[in-house]
Amino acid sequence: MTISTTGKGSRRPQAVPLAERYVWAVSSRLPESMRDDVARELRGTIADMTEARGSRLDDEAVVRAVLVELGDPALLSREYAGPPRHLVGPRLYDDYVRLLKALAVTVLPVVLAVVALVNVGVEDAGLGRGLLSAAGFTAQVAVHLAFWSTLLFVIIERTGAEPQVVLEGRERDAWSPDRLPETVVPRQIGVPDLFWGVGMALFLAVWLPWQHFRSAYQDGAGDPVPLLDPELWNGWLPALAVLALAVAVLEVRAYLVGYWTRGLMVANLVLNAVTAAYFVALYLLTDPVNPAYSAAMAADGIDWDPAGAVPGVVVGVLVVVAWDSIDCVLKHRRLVASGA
Amino acid sequence: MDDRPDELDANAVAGLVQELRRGTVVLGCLCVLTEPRYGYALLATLEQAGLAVDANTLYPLLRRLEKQGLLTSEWNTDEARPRKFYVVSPLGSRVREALAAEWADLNRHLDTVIQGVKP
Repeated sequence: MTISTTGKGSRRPQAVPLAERYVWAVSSRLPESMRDDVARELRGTIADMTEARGSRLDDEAVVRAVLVELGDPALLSREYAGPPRHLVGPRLYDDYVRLLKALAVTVLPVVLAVVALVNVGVEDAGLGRGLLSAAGFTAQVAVHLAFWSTLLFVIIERTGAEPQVVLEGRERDAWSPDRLPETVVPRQIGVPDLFWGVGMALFLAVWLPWQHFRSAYQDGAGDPVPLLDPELWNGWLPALAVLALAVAVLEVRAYLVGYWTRGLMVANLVLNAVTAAYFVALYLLTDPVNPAYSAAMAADGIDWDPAGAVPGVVVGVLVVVAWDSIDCVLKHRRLVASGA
Repeated sequence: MDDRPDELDANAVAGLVQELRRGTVVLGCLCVLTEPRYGYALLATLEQAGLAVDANTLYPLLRRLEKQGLLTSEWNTDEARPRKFYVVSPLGSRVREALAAEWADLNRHLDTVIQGVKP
């Protein structure tokens, strides 16, 4: 499918006719059993209604009037199918399954391997018990991942939010064909982006408390020795959690819109700048690694100080943040160039 | 009490009228669809008969009536544009008779009431 832009002040690519976009907007919300049949009938109906006004389907002004008469596709599909009785409908189902699969094949093996290694290698739990407890923990993580992902998609389904460029900055009360979703410009922000954004936040949410309470090392009193300096909970670590939450919210919003619009790009650049500043400041102003942890590792005979990894982590964050910023600016420019 | 309907919110009146008409659409469809018709033809016929219905109400309604067994449908692909034709089923005919009788009753009773309140 090619993207062509007609002249005459038209701002949208016109490869998919308005009527077809409307049919898609209605039928994509319907259960599969009736989807094709309704789409086929609706296509004919729009053509009939257009002809009854003495025109043809290539006359966009007339088609537009017909679509206004038919009204909001969300309401029309609701008339056809009744209110949703599903948690995740056909519109989002593929994305939902893809996210679950991606989480299952990436996060769970890592969790299993890391926890098993810690149990067996560091805590000397014994192979059988160590693996069993690691499997149990991984199962808990799996339940959490499935539950929160499902909740996320159920909310998306209920709130009726959907990927569309044209929604931005327009009045939301009166439906107009301008609000039909684009099916021409392919999405720029898909499941992988959602996965990384939300995954990082989830990881931090689990790892920050975990490293604090379930350390590989105990002090003399048997209390765990956290990897990160406990002093950092006085502000630095809560700030990091807030930052991660903000990133996750932005990623969800970006996924819903599907494109790097101007507003999203600016928000992303600001968050990236804050993230970079945070890590540089963390590096310059604090010693993030708990000295007691380094000492415990040395006492364990491991000839490597985790504090030495801090500059590498900070540089890694800066690289990712810079790459992400450039990526979103380029994609925003591509979106503008495509005429959307 | 003053009788000043023009002071009543025009939208509220339109809403009441719509409510009054809503139930009659089914009866209208069951009467007109004794002959097979496709969606837009039915819409136009009803409109000519003075029973204007919104397109976005009528098309989903046809599906619901079909699901309830009051209508049957068939795709006609003989012409350039495939169209779905709906026609009243035997069950639909019986329901139509019942609804028509109900309507006649209602009409009579309402008439009596309306005559009664006139000065």
